[in-house]
Amino acid sequence: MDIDIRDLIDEEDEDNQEEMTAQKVLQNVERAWLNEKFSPEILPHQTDYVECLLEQIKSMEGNLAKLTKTDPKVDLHKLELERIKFVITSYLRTRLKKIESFCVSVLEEEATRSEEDAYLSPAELKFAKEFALNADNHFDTILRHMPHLYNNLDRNKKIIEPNLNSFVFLKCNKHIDSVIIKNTLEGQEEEIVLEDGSQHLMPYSSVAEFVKRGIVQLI
Amino acid sequence: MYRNIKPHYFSIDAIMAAQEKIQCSFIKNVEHVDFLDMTNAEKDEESDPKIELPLWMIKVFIAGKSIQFDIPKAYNEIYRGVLTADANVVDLFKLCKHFYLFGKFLSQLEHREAYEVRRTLIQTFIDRFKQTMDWAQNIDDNLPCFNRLDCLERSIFNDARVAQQHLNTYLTEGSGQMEIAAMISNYRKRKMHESRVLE
Amino acid sequence: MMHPSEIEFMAENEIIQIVPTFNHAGHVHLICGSYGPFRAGLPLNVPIWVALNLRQKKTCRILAPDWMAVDKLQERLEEEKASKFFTQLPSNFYLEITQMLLTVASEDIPQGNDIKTAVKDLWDLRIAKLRSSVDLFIKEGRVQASLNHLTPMEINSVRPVFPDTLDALMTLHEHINSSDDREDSSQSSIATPSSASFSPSL
Repeated sequence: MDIDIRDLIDEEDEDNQEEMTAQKVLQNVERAWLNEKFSPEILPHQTDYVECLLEQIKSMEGNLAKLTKTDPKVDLHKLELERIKFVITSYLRTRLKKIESFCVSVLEEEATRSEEDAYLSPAELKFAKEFALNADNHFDTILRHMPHLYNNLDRNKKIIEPNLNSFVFLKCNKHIDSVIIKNTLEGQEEEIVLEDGSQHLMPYSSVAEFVKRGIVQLI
Repeated sequence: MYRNIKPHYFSIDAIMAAQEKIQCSFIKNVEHVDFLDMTNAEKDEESDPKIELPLWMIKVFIAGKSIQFDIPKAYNEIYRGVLTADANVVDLFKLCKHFYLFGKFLSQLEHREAYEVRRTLIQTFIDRFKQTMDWAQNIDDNLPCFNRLDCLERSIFNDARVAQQHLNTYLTEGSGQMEIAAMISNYRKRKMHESRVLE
Repeated sequence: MMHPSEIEFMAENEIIQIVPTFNHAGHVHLICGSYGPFRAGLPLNVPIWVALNLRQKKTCRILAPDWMAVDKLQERLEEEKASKFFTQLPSNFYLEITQMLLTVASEDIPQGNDIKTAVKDLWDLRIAKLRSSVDLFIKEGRVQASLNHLTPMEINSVRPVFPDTLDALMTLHEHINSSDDREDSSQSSIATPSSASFSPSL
């Protein structure tokens, strides 16, 4: 991934979202899109950024309506809006797919998080709950005709979880002193240093926290 | 067994793999299971005769310590030797459709050769990887090779093949125009057809 | 999973120089940044997707990036041959940018065919290197690799086969008592007879 040093946001910047430019917001959404595409688990939602971009799109579309069609700018603006919409829809679709696959475990984990630390946006949470309910109803219509011992499906069977040890490619945005990698093959642990700008392949579980903090970008 | 998801209850591959049969014999009398052996419907299971039971059922009897089983042919000492010598020449699919998954389940059962089975599985997978990848990435007519892959290798092969086709198309033709989804283009065709019929 | 055209999509955000054939005094304030002014004959920087759009409307000429020249690419090729590792390239999207520019603006770029060949040679060389290191990685049973200077398209060329193979390998390795068999705990507690007698509950 070609993440330029210039593009890196410091933690301070993240606290000052007020001052963030539309350009930065777009870059954040693009990065979130890639992370979401490559991470096995669902990541904390970026609804603030997505909504901010949707606002931008809306106001841009309003402005465009006022311009004459021959203005050379119109085409470029329209093209850009299409590009941004593509990223946003792809991002949201990727998340929905994960919610559908891992519905039970996503909901269970979400229940342990406070509202500020929520991974799902309110709309996604609503979707997940309805999806889980529909699945339960579906199982029930079949299983109620089964003998008593078999007519309910307990949680352990329903649960489908992402494999957090899946291998991912990543690029490091900052120097990280220590990353622990479990070597399942030899039953040992390895510790390595990730240098700023370096690219690696390793199990997702080793860097999950860094991905969520924006220090590591999946590629 | 792969693709970012942990093994789970609904996995069709796991269900199919657990259906594979193993030859075994009872070491204790077990009552009320004569329906298992149609050829010998007269008497209850006894110590002598060998019968074939699916793996999931064997697990039940093993828990009660009432059964002992033979390592299936594909995983016995002779075949382990063949696989160690040159895993690439073996027709795994013929040996066992779910060679790796069934083998893994098998090695989870209590048996003195379980460790060797496991080691052979891993080494076989590693030894065959390059060949599988090469086949997937060189897109010629190589279906006979495909037939010799086990189900796990097949799914990796198929995904690799699709990705390689996308890349090849991109390298030769570029991305060009975005494709219209089949559903939409079919819908259009149908519309066109309908309007013609109306005329 | 990533489609090659999605990587091209990312490459289109890279900046490139164009020479417009029209005048537009103000800046164009795009969400990704402001670009302009457009003065006929004066070069300026724009994202590639803007350049391609203007070029298709024949309102600009595209200036090939510095590295996109036969002699420069030949140098890279030699360097790549001599190095055991992957060398750092001047663009993280060299293949896609070459492909896009030569498709849309071949007249603006001298020696287009030779450039295409040189880029393809570079790509082939690097992919061959990559494949043999992938093979070695699996054989050695490693769990971590450095991939410095590989471009997104190159990385994508071994996806999904490489990560998936490793995942499958690790799953094979998982400890015997891990609960990755569908018939564990709950189910067996119902179905397992505690003694040798087994009366099916069906």
